[in-house]
Amino acid sequence: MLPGFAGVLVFYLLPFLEVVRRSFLKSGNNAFVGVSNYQTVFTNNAFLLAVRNTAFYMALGVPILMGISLILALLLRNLVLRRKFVSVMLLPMAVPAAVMVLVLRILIDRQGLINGIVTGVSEKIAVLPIFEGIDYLNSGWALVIVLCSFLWKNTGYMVILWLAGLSALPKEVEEAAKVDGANRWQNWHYIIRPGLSGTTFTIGMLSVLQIFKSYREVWMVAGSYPQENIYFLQHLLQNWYLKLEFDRMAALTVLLSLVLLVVCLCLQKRLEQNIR
Amino acid sequence: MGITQIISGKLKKRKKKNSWLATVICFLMAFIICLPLLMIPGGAFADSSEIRQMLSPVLGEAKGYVDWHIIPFYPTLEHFYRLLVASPAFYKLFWNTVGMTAAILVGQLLVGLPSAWAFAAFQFRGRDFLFGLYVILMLLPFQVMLLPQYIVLQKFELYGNPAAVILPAVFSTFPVFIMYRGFTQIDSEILEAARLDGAGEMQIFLRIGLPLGQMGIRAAMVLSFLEYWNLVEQPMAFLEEQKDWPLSLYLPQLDIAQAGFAFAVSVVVLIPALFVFALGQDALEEGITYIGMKE
Amino acid sequence: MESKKKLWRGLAAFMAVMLIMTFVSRMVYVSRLPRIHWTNPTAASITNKLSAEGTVEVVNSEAITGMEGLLVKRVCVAAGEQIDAGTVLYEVDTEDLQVQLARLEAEEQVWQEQVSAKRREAATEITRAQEDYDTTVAELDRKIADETRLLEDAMEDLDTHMFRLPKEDAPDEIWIAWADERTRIDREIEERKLAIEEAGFEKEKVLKEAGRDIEDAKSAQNEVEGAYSSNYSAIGQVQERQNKIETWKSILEDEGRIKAEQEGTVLEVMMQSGVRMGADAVMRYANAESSRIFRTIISQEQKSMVHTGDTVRISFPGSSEEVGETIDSIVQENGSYTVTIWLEPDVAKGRTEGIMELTSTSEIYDFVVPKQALHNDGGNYVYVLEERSGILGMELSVRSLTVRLLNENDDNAAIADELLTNDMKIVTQSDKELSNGMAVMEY
Repeated sequence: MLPGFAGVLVFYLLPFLEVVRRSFLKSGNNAFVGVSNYQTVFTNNAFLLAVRNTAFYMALGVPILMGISLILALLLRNLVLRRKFVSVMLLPMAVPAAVMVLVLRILIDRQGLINGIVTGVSEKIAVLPIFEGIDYLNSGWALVIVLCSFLWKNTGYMVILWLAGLSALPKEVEEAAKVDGANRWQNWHYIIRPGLSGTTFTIGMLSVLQIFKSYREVWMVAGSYPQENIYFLQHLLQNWYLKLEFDRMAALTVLLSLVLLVVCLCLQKRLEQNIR
Repeated sequence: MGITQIISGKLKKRKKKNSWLATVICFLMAFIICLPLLMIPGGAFADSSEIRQMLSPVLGEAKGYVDWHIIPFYPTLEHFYRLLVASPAFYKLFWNTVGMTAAILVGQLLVGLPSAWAFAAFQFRGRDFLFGLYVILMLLPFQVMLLPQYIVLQKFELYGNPAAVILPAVFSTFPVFIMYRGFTQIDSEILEAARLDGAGEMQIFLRIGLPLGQMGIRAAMVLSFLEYWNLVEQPMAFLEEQKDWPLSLYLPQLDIAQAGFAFAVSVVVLIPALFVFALGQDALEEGITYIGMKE
Repeated sequence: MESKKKLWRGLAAFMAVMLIMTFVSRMVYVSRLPRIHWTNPTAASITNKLSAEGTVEVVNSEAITGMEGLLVKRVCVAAGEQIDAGTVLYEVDTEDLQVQLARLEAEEQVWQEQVSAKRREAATEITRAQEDYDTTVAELDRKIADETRLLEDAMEDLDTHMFRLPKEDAPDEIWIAWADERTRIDREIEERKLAIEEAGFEKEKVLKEAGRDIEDAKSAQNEVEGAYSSNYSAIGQVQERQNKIETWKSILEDEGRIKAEQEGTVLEVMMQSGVRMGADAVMRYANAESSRIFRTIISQEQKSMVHTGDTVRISFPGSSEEVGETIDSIVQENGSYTVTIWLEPDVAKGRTEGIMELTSTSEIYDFVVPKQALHNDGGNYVYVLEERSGILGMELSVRSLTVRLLNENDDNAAIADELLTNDMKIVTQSDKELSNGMAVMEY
């Protein structure tokens, strides 16, 4: 226990405190500059862009992820082949990001496979206007691509969480309701939904964190300076790191972890509430 | 006919109908999920010229769109020959990845098991606070920890060393959390019974904790493996020399013109991951439920 | 559980295959690596050896002219042979010589006779003229003497006559007679005086004429003599013939042998037995006063190594002789250069070929590498061995470095570049073709 904690202390907690300290210093001469690092961060255009993008991405991604995975979980819940499907849906977790990115590059290129298929289809249906092909990575579609790859990778994960939440529901109540003639909507609305409220919150929080963590694919597909819709806070941190702008980075790190801390604390509160 | 029979009959009927539709939708989902994976063998076995011809629009050499053959017209082992026989660099990186992952997994076991057991089996002062801390740390994305870890690695002069990637990962709190959840699945009555029988703490851990909490341990290992097998950000930020790189950093560097070779690499990278996935799939599912589990 | 075991086995097998293939690929990789030798560039000088074959030529050689008109029987010396005074150079056909000599002597005889006949003729002519002269003069002298006597007679008559002068009173007739007489005597004196004068004139005239005749005869004689004294070519011819006869006679006495007059070295023989000689030189030889020069042609590149005044060594094939001489001139001739070296008088006697060798040691260059380290591809470059950190860890690789070539000989090359240092490892040898950035192995 102790060595483990020592390691955590050394590699996570202490350096983090150091970062907090540094966020008030100027990098290089270590002069105390108060909150001016924070001010630079807040006035930085890239930061504002990144915050906007990240918030928008989350606002879009979390509900979609949760929705899709919930629907799938509900569909799977009583299926005989449930386990098989779950395995397949988890499979993307095993696929290294680099492999996925390779496939993605071929799919979404300006002259890639998706555009090819769409063109083929639109040519068949003569009514549609001629499809010009979309340069996904250099247009607003970049966000969609990022979102899709995120969904592809994390849906299975979330489905399992939902299934766990669903299985915790007492079966008897549902069955009794069915006996009473409740239709599926009523079943969902009155029984499943309230029962899942705790799980929903947990999964929501986890989705937020998961979205935060799923930067790898974005970076690998689009590089350090992607299309401006998908320039996230992670890009900002990474780029500042590469440029050795540690003072600003320290400030941003502290800010971000404060936000995440709040999220986590909420999550934990909720978990603890559930215990009581 | 009793009423229950009617109900159950009705239920069965409805369930069946429901299942059919759900199965179709799920099959569709599964197919969509697998579709990108189906492209991999096509690329790995196709002849160089075929790949070139298929990808020529992407390479900017032709108009029109990519035309991908799921089953190549001219299958060859060319790329695998080049990869497996003529690329010692690949093996260097492969063993880098294997070594790094293995070191991290072993380290996590050694460090994480006692911690997890301590959290699960004992009540001590500050336990809740500490555990909360662990959970928060587990949920922080790497980018947030980038600067703190950089600072400490600089301090220990580990920057640029493989240990720069391995050590922080070893002390990651995520596997502790998963293993802890595994241990909490053990009925506390069993533990108390064992204590009453006068078993030592060590004995309890070895005899009861490890066998009964193995699901959590395996889940932690599988999740860690999948995470660290394709590590990208950490080695990129902390490793300077190519010789220390893992494969996951090497693969994106391959040009799209070398797609065949890259696909062959992908296949080789994918194989251990699939093995581990298959081996630990049950634990994986269990582990994920632990994450969202109420305490 | 059974399927898990299989999976574990599969994973283990995969890892085992990967391990084996790691070795295999390493072996394949290593077998493909070029193996190289290297060396550090050292500070050294470049010793250049120039070797050029050339010819030895003799200037101021002596010529032996042929015995014109004689038939060569045998040539007794060859080019390069040492000769002393008295060495037989060649022999002429004595029989032929006798014939030729006889012909020549006959020619001389005829000529001599012609000359004496002409002389005689001229002498007769003079005598005759002298005689004519003498007779004519004598005749005139007698005539003058006769007239003079007659004159004296008349003068005496006159005197006597005067004494007979009639008396004053002598008759006129007497007077007339006397006067007549006197007139007659006067007239006679006048006549006689005239006659003497006339004879004087005559003699003068005759003298003049006879003298002229004598002059004529004398000049005719002179002409004959003059034909030999005033006409040089004729005299030359005669003298030549006479000399020839003298020489030939002495040759004949010597049984046809022609001998060398001086010691020396035969350079060239331009005669053949059985051929009649002309007046040209038949042999050339070098005597003590002759000098030799060594000449060789060198290329543009070699030119940069030698300068006028440099000391070179010259050796001569076929002899152990070796001399140090200085270069006297270097002259450009359509793209190549002719080096000329005047040799000391005693050097290279009888040699026609020589080899010039020059060893020039340059200044000390900072970076000298073996010649095979230098590659040329339009510009000069070397491969520098470097350690580089690649995927496989530290490995050796070569990098091409463009250098300037300062100097070179067959073994070494002096190079220069701002990036060169003496710790650099310059690749000198490789068992495979190298290219920039290639990974290599040391031997």
